[in-house]
Amino acid sequence: MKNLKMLLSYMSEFKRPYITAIILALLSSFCIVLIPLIIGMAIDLMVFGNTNFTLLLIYFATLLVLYSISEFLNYLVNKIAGEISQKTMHRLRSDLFQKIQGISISQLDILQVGDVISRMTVDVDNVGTGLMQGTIQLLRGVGVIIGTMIVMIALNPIIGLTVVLLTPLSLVVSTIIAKGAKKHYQANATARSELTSVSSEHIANQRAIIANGYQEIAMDQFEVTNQKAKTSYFYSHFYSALTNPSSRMINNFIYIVAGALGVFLKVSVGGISSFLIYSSQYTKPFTEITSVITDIQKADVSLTRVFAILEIPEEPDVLSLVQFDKTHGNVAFKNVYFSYDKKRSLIKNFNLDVKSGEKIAIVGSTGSGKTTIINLLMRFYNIDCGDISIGDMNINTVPFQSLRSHISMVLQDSFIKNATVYENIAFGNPSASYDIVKNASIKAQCYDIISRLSDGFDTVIDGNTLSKGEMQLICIARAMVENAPILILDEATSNIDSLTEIKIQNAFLELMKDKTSFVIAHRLSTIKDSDRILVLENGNIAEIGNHKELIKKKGKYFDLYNNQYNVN
Amino acid sequence: MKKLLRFISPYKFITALGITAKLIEGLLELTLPLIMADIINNALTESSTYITNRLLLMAGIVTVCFALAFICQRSAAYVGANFGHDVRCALNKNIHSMSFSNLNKFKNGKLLNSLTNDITHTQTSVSIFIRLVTRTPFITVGSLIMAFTISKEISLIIFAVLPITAYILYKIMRKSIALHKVTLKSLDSITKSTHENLVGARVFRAYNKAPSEIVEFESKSSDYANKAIKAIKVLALSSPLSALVVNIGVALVVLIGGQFVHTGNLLAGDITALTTYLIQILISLTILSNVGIVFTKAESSASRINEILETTSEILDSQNPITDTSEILPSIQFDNVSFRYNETSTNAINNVTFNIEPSSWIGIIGVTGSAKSTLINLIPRFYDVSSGSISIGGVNIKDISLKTLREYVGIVPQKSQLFNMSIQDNIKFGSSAVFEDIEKAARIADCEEFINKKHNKFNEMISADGKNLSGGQQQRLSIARTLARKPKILVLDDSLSALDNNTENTVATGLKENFSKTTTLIITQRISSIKYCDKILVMKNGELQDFGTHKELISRCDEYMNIYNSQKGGGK
Ligand SMILES: Nc1ncnc2c1ncn2[C@@H]1O[C@H](COP(=O)(O)OP(=O)(O)OP(=O)(O)O)[C@@H](O)[C@H]1O
Ligand SMILES: Nc1ncnc2c1ncn2[C@@H]1O[C@H](COP(=O)(O)OP(=O)(O)OP(=O)(O)O)[C@@H](O)[C@H]1O
Ligand SMILES: [Mg+2]
Ligand SMILES: [Mg+2]
Repeated sequence: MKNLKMLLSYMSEFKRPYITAIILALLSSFCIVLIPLIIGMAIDLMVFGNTNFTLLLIYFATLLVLYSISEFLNYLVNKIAGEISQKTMHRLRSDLFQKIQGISISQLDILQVGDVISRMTVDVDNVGTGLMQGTIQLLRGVGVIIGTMIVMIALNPIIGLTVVLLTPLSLVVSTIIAKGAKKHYQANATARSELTSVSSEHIANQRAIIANGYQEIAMDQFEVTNQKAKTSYFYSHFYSALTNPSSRMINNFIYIVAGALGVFLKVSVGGISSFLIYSSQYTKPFTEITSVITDIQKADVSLTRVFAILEIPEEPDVLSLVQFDKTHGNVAFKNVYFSYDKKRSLIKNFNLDVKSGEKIAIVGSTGSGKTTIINLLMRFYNIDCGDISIGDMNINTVPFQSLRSHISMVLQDSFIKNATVYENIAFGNPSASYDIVKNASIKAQCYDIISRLSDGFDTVIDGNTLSKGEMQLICIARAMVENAPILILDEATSNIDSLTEIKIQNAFLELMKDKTSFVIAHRLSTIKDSDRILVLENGNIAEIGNHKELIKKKGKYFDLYNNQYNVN
Repeated sequence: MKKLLRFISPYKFITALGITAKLIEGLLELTLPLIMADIINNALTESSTYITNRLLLMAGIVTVCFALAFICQRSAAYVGANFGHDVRCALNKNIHSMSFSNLNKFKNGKLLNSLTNDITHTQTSVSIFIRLVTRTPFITVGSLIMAFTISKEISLIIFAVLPITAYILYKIMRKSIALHKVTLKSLDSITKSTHENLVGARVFRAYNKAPSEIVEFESKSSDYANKAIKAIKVLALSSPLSALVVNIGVALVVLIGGQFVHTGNLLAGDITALTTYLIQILISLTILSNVGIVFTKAESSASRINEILETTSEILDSQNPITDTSEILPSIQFDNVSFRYNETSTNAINNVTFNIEPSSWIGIIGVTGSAKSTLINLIPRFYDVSSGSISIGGVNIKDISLKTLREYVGIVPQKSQLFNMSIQDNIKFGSSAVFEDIEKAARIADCEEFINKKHNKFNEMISADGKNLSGGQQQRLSIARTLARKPKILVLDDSLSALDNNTENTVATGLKENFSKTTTLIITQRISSIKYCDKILVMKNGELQDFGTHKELISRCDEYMNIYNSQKGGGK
């Protein structure tokens, strides 16, 4: 019920077509109700040797008109209902997508990719067909039933009332059955989600599965969820399929009762005809309603799942017009504390003052927190306490958009969107001219590679079509196009050969002129010339200084540096 | 759909049972109006016991009908559930048997949607087929026959109505099947975008892509909606149009029936029965057109499923593959090997020939995109050579069973692929390794340091894609996974790139100590990592530039020297 209310507020923009559809549906049920009456009257006209043909013709014409009107109305209703259900689905999908963009990275980390996809597609679909189309069909059916009841009572109160009294029975039965099915629909939805999660993870990492001969186990895992899907499918479908024969049985009884009463009460043949047509015509809306009731039940389950995501609070963004500008180059971390797992501290009392234009290198053993520092600066994660500021403005007081467009970064993990090379490079600035993109790719040493591709910049790529180093080059070109005042390189050249690296290094030097930069690298040769080198250890700064100073110090950095060309 | 019918055959008895039950139910239901007409026509002349008996008979029929329907619905749900399960199983199995190049062809979104959505559509259609479709033509034909026994002449009207309706339904179905196929394709791209945005969230945010991604997604989503609406508009016609035609028939029956009653050829009760039968037909046709909607979707989905089912891996076991490798020495021979990714593209690897001694340590170096990864992917037959041959210990790799070969050759991939399971399971990952092996592998790969920092040690859960680990930790876990399988040939594809120098040294030393018997291939960008290797392969542009020791290469290979010089500056 709570769901329905939310959905109603949701579809307020379709109020008008929705109400129109309902009115049209009721009108068409009005026509449908009239028809048996006329057929009955027509049959009563038929008497051996004494039939009033003029009247019969009039009835015939009326029938044709009513049929045409009601079917035309039905068509309109189907069309409108389909349209608004698709549009509601579109809104739901868009809102889900927007939600994904709006919630924090740590919230995203908890979500299962496959589960979200399942909600985005199947559940949204269920809601669309069940609630939007379903309710309209339901109302049309109810209209026919009520209209039929009224006419029947008017025709013959005894038969009519008997039918009216028996009718709810069929509704009660189907509601009970639908209630029973709900539990199974829930199980079905969960199983489906699990299935999607398992498959989505497997498909995305299929190559590792093949390489390690994991197929058998992967299939076994899949089979477990597949079995669950099978069982829940069986029960939910069996239950919901029962509503139809149950209500049909009850309707058939009503048909018999109506006929029997008609005979015993000595109603005219035409009159009985009308009743019989009514009670068999009854079956149609009932069949519709009962199947709609299970659809609605299913939709209700799905709606809960969709709203569960829509209800995740979004990460609050700053609603001010404050923006960084080009001159904001200094970065300060003051008493920063942070941990991913609140039980285990990682960054403790981190302090760093970076002047505008300074080149900072961050080194340290793996897992020491280098990427974490960058995550905090980008506000992928929020610090636990302390503050981080850029150009003397706390980064929490500036909108995300401004913060992130103030920084160009190459992440440790190369990400390629399934799109053209051009779109991938002009990622942060889709309106970048061809020259800018071309220039960036030349500087990032990937122009030749791109030229060799079948359609050059227009070649569609994904994470499997290029070599790992080539993907990194594309990501570097991407950062060069954005060209923001602060530059962050997190192991940006780890998979690139040293010949290419030197060329890129020169391009970076040019790019970093009067820019503040943070460079994380394990190959120390690439960061030797930095203004200051930060050696991180367990989330803390162990040493800080330039190359010469740190070498002289003969500490951690000295160790790392000496080890670099010293494998056994 | 036709091609998927073989998945029903294990359940043909239950299917037949369901269909038969439904047919008998339909048959019995058909007698109801007939009995009713009899009652009405004889109401005035016959005794009340006659009528009561008839009424009781009807009640009995209705009850039996319900029992039959119950059987039918149960079989339908049973067959549907099993059919879906079996198709899904087969589909999943096929995906798992795909080769790398098969996988390159399919977008993830499509595989996923087919496994879930498409199968649901087809399985629903199977259930519905059992429940409704056989019954519908049966009721139609039955009603026709019944009508025929009442009045041949008037039945002609019904005969005229049916083909018209059938034609209309057929046309509409055909049109909407085509429309549906396009719609499903559009759904794939919705799935893909969602997947991409979840997996690459950090990059999308770093570049402020949210607004443009939302716009892009909305356009995809509304494209989907528009295509679906187009299909709906066509389908929305089916039920009203067919109903209109049948109803015109009803009106004609009334009009012409009047004539017959007037001339004494029919009784008014007969007209009642005739219209009832027509309405029966109408209801079945309405059901049929609703079923048509389900079938339309199923048909489009089935062709997508078939496309995947019919994709078979080109990489197969030979006739009597070798499964025992105890006699095979871990040497590697490449004989004139060339390879290209697509029929149309140029060679990624060109005429490569070399010979690697058992238990030797081999370095592989070369600039970005020089086909180092491609080269080593040929050894476990992730791709098959386009020409030439590769042997291990003198045995052509095509003669070794794939499973054995891939156990024999362990590759640590360039991009770590971690799963949402515990650290222990990520390392074990299907191998026969016991806990001691896992621990040892983790120790050699220098994972212990970070595993011990985790709350649950080896039982700590790793997030999907290893998101809760640092880059270097992911790499080491991935190395441990391969080590735990104790391969005879070990390949590290730039797998130390995210490690700092100290950690790299620790891992390299550990490998040297524990895997000295193993033939080891190390792809790297750092000369220092392979300087002491027995031999080094230098790749350039898909060709083998040179193959020799560090000393030899330094004196004769320009490519190697260039790389060496570029790194010397940083050394001591
Ligand atoms: N999303 C996360 N959830 C929980 N823990 C995390 C998460 N990301 C990183 N960690 C943990 O935080 C620590 C620091 O990770 P970080 O990625 O900052 O290391 P790093 O210095 O960048 O290492 P590398 O050189 O290997 O990339 C690691 O121990 C890691 O396991
Ligand atoms: N699936 C694929 N389909 C088509 N071309 C591909 C595919 N994978 C790689 N290539 C191309 O083949 C060439 C060799 O790629 P490969 O991955 O072997 O290079 P690599 O030497 O490993 O490079 P890196 O040092 O960057 O890892 C590249 O030009 C790449 O674009
Ligand atoms: Mg990192
Ligand atoms: Mg590679």
